[in-house]
Amino acid sequence: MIEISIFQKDDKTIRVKSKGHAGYADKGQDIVCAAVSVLLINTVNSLDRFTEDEILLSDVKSGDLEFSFPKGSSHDGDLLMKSLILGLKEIAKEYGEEYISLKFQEV
Amino acid sequence: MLKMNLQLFAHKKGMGSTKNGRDSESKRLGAKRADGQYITAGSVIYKQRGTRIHPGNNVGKGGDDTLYAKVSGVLRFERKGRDRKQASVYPVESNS
Repeated sequence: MIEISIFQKDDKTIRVKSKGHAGYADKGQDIVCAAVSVLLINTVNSLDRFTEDEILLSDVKSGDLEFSFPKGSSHDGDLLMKSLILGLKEIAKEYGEEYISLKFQEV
Repeated sequence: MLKMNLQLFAHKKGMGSTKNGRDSESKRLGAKRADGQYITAGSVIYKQRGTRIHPGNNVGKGGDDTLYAKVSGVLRFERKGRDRKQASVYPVESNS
């Protein structure tokens, strides 16, 4: 199961920690993993390309991706984060907590 | 920019019996159609040994456990019970 923790402060996301393996199918055919991967990677790349927000990114390893906003996020950054969370929620709803678990923590 | 690794959160080693690599189409097992894809009746959905994926609504199982569509419609890979999976095909109402 992929465990995704989303740390928020006053409804703004300040850190995302994702760890684990979906285990939906063999590597190369794991559609849940693919969906989560593309959402997370594309969000990081979009934040980098389309916003001025400073992003602190952990070194990305198999089954491990973490990033945060050390100086807070802009309007555009927030929008990208809301989009990410929407996508992750829908995957969890469609494919179940067995493969992806989403936890929100207020800090 | 991060590399778009679509299997970043996939298991390192395969689960259960795995067929290596992506060699010629004829030997390759696994999904032949994607979830949410519109497919026609008779289309092969999943080639497998044993029933890793079970036949759901409007899906038949051949002698070699291959799953195929009995009707045309949208393919869905679904959960079946606690830890099993099934493939179903849902006809699309035509509004003609």
